[in-house]
Amino acid sequence: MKTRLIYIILMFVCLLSEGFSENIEQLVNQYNQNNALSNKTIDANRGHLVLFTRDDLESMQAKRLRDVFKSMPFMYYHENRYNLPDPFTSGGYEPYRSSFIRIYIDGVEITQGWAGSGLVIYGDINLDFIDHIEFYYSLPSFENSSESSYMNIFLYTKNSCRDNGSNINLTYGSRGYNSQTFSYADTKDGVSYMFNFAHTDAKRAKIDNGTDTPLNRNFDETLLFGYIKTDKHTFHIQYINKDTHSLTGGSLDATPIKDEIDYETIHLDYSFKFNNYWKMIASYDRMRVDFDLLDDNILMISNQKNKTSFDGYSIHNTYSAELIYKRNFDKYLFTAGLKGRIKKVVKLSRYDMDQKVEMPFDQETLSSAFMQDQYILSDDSLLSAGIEFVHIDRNGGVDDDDFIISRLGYIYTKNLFEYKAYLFKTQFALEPSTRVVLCKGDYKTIKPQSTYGFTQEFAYHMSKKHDLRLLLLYFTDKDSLMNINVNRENREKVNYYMASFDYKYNINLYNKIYFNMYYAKYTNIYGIDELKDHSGYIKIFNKIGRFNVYNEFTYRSNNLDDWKSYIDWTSAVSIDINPRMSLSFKGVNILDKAKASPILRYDVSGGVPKMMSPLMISPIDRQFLISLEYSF
Amino acid sequence: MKKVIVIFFISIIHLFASVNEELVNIYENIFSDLFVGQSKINVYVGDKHYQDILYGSEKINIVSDINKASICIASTKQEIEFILKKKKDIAIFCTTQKFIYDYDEIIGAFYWTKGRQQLLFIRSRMDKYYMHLPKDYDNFIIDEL
Repeated sequence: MKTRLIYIILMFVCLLSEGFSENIEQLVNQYNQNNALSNKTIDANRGHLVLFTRDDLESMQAKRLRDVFKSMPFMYYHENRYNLPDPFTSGGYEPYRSSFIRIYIDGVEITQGWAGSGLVIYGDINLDFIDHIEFYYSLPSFENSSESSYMNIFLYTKNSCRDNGSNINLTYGSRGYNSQTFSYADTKDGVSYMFNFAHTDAKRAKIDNGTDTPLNRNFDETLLFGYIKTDKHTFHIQYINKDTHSLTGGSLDATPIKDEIDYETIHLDYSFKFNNYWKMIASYDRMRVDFDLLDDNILMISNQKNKTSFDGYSIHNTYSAELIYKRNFDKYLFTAGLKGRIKKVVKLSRYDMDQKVEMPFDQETLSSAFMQDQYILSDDSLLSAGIEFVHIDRNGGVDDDDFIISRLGYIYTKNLFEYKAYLFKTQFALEPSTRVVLCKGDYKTIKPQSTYGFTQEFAYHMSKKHDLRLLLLYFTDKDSLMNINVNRENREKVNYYMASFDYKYNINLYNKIYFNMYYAKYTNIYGIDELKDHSGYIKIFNKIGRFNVYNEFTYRSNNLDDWKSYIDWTSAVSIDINPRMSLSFKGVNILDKAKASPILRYDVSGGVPKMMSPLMISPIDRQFLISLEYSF
Repeated sequence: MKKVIVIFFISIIHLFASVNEELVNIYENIFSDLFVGQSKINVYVGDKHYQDILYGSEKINIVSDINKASICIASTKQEIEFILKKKKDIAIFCTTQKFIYDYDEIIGAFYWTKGRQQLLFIRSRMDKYYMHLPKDYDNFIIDEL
């Protein structure tokens, strides 16, 4: 009787959802919304999602990852003193802080191995080949993570059927900023392929450092991306050459004479589906970094020994492989896998001393095994549990690590209400480059960080128009790597309390408003007793005739700046001139009041270093852009 | 447990069905508006994929003889050439963007571009076939290419 009733209700719902008559424009738009690629890639079990659909990215005129990353709650776009994307930077002298965030393209992690997470270069990648972006908070499901993280960014590429043909985009902006992209995609005989070229000559605002030579953070980036896909095989190739002026370079008082650091990265990956249950992924990442640094004082780079210049290069490779088994048994969805990763410094060489620098510690090998189960508790609830064992082997007499990572998850969905919770324990090792550069003589015995977390999400969907969500995150780090001195014997415990409220109002298919407000409190982070952060945004999407209009107001404020208010107003307008051509205008940080953060500096001219007033720098330049896009 | 599986399958079938049904609904709307007064429109469909989708439509009658068709649906150059070889001057509705620039017989298209499906009609070509569309379509009609 009960089953029959469910049948009748289901059939009634099916009929009801198809019974309304709509005009052709609504039908086409509804079809596009229901068939968005993001509907096929979202995985509820990966954590708490913040999604940017293709429509969102286009309305926002998002050209680079920073354009969306800058408004994220809690962990948002920021750059370190070397002009690299580094949301967790303290503004101090550490090489890189943000390996807690990992980045994936089409489900395959990009890593910079020795330097840390792939975010180092891909944290501000050109988005021309990207269809949509999924940000997930919390420890991800184990089938996705090779190394520990608590925020994961999944970029999904455009589909060659849906973006068939060629596309050119030309952008010109303030200070001579210019960008050119070209892509071609097609599908033939079951083989999909895409090729993308993007060049960006980013002329950025200079930073006054009190001298006649302001700090420079321009960069010139060339990106090549390609994929070939069939039902069973996928192959990606990516090449990035990024020549940068590195802001402060290695200068302690932020007055570099030469500040050039150039990066060249190659990523290759291949994945193969053996059958419905078995899958393997193998990938290779190579990074070459060329330094040309000069200062009138000793540089803040390891192995310098009173040197004021560094002219040399490093090459490091990362090899990753994983084998995954996934199968449904009755009420269980069981996943297990083996993963391995080798990070190796191939060469570190100095031109100015005509020598190869010997490094006793030049290899780190990670091996891990995991299993995870998702169990259907009832019609509307799902329980997941997973555990992963990780062994990290290091040469050069550096301590090995053994980690146990575990996660318990619960998802409940009933009518318009959703609840999601994760309880987890994870561990992080200090990245090799940071270990060597920051800890110098003590780098062999750095204790790993253990993080315990409990995260919850309450969502309520009031009809199709209103979506409400409350996100509550709590993490606590034992032996936190978010201390200034990571080589101390007993590092402080750091606590994170975060609450975020989202409201989405879909006025109709073309007009919508996103609102977010969050509060975060961190204790002992970077040695600060208490860091409190109140921030939020309003994003307004409008369609007026042939014009798409977008306005975003991001508000940031924290107690370190005595609650000074920062506002980033970004606005974009685009118009489809004809089916092949569109023109757009965009203003970024129009008021020039976007969040600025301190970059520390020391006066070392007198022998004893004296702390100077920090430089307040915003990673978001005030910028006006005009773009022309042509498809054929 | 049986109940969970049954509901799961019904939901999946409904999901796929609704995606295809949405597409059928769009084609039915377009052809009903192009051929006002015809309860069932005779359409020749060259592409097997679209034949499968439109099969069973209440408003579209798939015909195998091009001479009996009011309009044809084509996806590839070969299909367009084949149709025009069989019957010159028949109106074609295309599912790919690139061919609309090459054949004057293509009066409109519903095609993927920039990641989404786009609807487009060319007024000057529709006029040749005495075809008109209601005001709802104004955003999708251009005068000529």
